Amino acid sequence: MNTPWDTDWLEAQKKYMEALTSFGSVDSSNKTTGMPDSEWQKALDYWWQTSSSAMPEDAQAIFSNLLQHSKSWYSITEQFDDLLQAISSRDNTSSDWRATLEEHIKKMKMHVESGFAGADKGFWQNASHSPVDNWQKMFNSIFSNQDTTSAQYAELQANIEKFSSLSGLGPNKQIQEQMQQGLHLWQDYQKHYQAYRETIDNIASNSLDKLQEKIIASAKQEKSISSLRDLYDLWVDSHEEAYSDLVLTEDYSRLYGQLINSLLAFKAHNQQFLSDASKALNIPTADTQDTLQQELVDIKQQQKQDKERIKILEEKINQLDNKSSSKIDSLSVNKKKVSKKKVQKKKRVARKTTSRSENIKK
Amino acid sequence: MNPFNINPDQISSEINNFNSKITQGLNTLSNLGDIEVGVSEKECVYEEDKLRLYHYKARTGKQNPVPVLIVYALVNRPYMADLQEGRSLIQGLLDAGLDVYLIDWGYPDDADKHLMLKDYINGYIDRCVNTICEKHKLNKINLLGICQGGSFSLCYTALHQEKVSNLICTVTPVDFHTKNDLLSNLVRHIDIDLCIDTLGNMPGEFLNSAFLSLKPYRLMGQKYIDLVDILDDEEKARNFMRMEKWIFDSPDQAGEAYRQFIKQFYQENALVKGKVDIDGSLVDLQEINIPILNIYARDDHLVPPDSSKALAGCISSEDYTEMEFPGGHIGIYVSARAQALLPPTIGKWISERSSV
Repeated sequence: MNTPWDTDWLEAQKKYMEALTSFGSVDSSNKTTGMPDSEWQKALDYWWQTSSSAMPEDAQAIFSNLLQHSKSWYSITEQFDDLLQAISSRDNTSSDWRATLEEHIKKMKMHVESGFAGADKGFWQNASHSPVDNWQKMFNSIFSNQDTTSAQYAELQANIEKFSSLSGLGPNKQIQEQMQQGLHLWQDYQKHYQAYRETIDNIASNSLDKLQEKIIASAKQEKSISSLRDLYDLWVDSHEEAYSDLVLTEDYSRLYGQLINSLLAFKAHNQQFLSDASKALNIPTADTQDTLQQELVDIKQQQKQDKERIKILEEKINQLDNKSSSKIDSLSVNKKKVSKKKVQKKKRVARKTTSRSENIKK
Repeated sequence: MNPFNINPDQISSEINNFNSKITQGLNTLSNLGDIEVGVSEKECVYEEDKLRLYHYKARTGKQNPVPVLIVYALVNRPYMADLQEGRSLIQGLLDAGLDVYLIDWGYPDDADKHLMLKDYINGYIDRCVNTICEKHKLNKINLLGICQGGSFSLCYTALHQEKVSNLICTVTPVDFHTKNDLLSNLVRHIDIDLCIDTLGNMPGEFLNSAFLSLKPYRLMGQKYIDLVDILDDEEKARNFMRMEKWIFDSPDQAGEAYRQFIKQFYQENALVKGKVDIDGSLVDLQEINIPILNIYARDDHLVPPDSSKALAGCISSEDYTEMEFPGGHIGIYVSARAQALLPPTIGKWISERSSV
C-alpha cells in the first residue's frame, strides 16, 4: 500500500508529465511532438527515474518495458510523420499518394541500408532490433555469473593480435595457451554475432517493402488507415512477416546455431579454465559436484525401486496373512465343531450311564 | 483510393492521448498490489522430489467416476490452466463434471540435472497414474496433455496403454519438422550436447527469450503499446500483469531430459518415426488404439497446427477426433472463447466414452 507521501509524489510526477505533454501540444501545429524526438525520450527517462521507486517491483518491470517501447513508438511516429503530412496535403481523390508513399519508403530504405546512419540512429534501432535485444537477454542468461570474465576478454580484444602471436613460455605456458584459446573462441563468437546483427539489419529494409505492399493492398481493398496506431500495427505485421520468412530459411537456422554454439564453446572453455584453477587450489570443481549429483540421483532411484519392492512384498505378506488367518479361523471353527460333538457325545454317554445305573438300582 | 485518412491534428492528438494514458497508467500499475494466480481449490495428494500431484475439489454434485490427469509441459508453470476466476480450463472441466488431477513439476535445480525422460514418463507420470488408480480403485484413467505434456502423454500411452482409458492432446507437437515450425528451425543446428554439458540445466530465462524470439516485434514491442490502451482499466491491467507473471515464470529444465527431448523430438523428429527411445523401449504411436481427442490452435506460433494434426496418421486408434480452436497457443486456455468451447467439449467427449 502506498504511503500518503508516495501518493503525493506520484501526483506531482503525474502533473509534471502532463505539463510536459501540454508543452508538446503547444508547438504541435508544425511538428508532431513539438520537440525533437531525443528530448521526448530524455523527458520520459527523467520522469521514469523519479517515479519508478514508488511502484511495486512486478509493475516496475512491466512499466519499464512499456516506456522502452514507447520510445520506439515515438521514433516510428516521427519517421512516418513526414509521409503522413505530405500525403494529407494532397487531394484525397488523387492517385499520386502512391508516388509519395514510394518516395518516402525509398528514403527510409536508404536510411536503414546505410546502417542506420544519421542523428536518429538509435530510434530505428530501438524499433527494429527486438531480436538483437532479445539475444542480449539470452546472452545474459548464460553469462550471468561470469560477466567479469567475458568483460575481461572483451578488454583484451584490443590487443588480441599481439597477445595471440606470443608463444607460450615458462611456468605459465599452459595458462597463456588457455587464454589464447579463449580469445580465439571469443573472436569466433564475435564473428558470428556480427553476421547475426547484419542479417537482422536486413529485416528492416525487407519489412519496409512489405509495409508498402500492405498499404497498397489496403487501398485496393478500400480499407482506410485512420491513425498512427493503424500504421504502427502494419509496421509490426510487416516486420513479423519479414522476420518469419528469414527464420524459416536454412541459412538462418545455421547462423543461429553457430551463434549459440560459439557462445557455448566460449563458456565451456571458461569453465574448464576455472575448473583447472580450482583443482590446483584443491577446491572442489564442477566435475566433482556433477559426480556427486549423479550418485545422488542413482541412490534416489535405487531408493524408489526399493520402496516399490517393499510395497509389493508388504502386499504379498498381507495377502498371505489374510490367507493364513482365514485358514486358522476355519480350523478353529472345525475344532469347535469337533469339541461340541465330543461334549454332546459325553453328555449322551453320561445320560446313558445314569439311566443304566438307575435301572440297576430299580 | 488513398487509404490514409489522417491529418496532422489527429496525429498530434493521438500522441498527446498516448502520453496522457502512460501517466495515468503509472497510477494504475502502482495501485494493483499483489497479483494472485490459481483459483480452484485443490489438495496435494502425492509428492515426490519437486513434483506435486494436485486433486481439485469438485464443483458439481455428480462427477464422472474416471478421473482426468492433466500432464502439463515442463516449460512454464501449470497455473496457466487455472489462471483466474472465469479464465480457467480446470474450473471449466470441474463444471463439466470431471474429476481433475494435475501434475505440477515444480522448479528443477542442480540436483535434478541428471533426470532423464524415462524418469518423467516411466517414473513420475506412472507413479501419479498409479496413485490415482489406487485411490479410485480403477485400472485406468483419462489423460489430458498440454503442449510438451501432450507429447509425454502420447509416449506414456504408447508404453502403458493398459492404464489409459481416453487421451486428450491439446496443442501437442507430434511432427517436429513441419515446414512452418519456427522453433524447430531455430534449434535444428544447436549443438545440444555442448549446450547441456556446459550449462547443466537449461536456464528458464534463456528458453523464455527463445520463445519470445519467435515473434519479437509483437511480443516484445506491440504488446506493450497495446497495454497503454487498457491502463485506465484496473481489472484489465491486472489481467495483463497476471499473464506477464506467467510468461516470465520459467523453471529451468532438467539437463539430461532436455538433451533427450531436443535431440530426439526436435532434431531427429523421432516421435513420428517411432524411434523415440525411453529407457530402451521404442515409442511406437501405432500401438495406441484408445479413443483420442486432439485439439490444436489455428493460430499457434509455437506448435503449428500441422505438427499436431500429424497425429492422425501415426496411431491405430479408430476413435480419433480432431478439433480446431480459433486462437493461439495461450488463448486456447485463457480466452473467453476457450472457456465456452473447450471444457464442455472435453467433458462431453469423455462422458460419451465412459464405460464405468
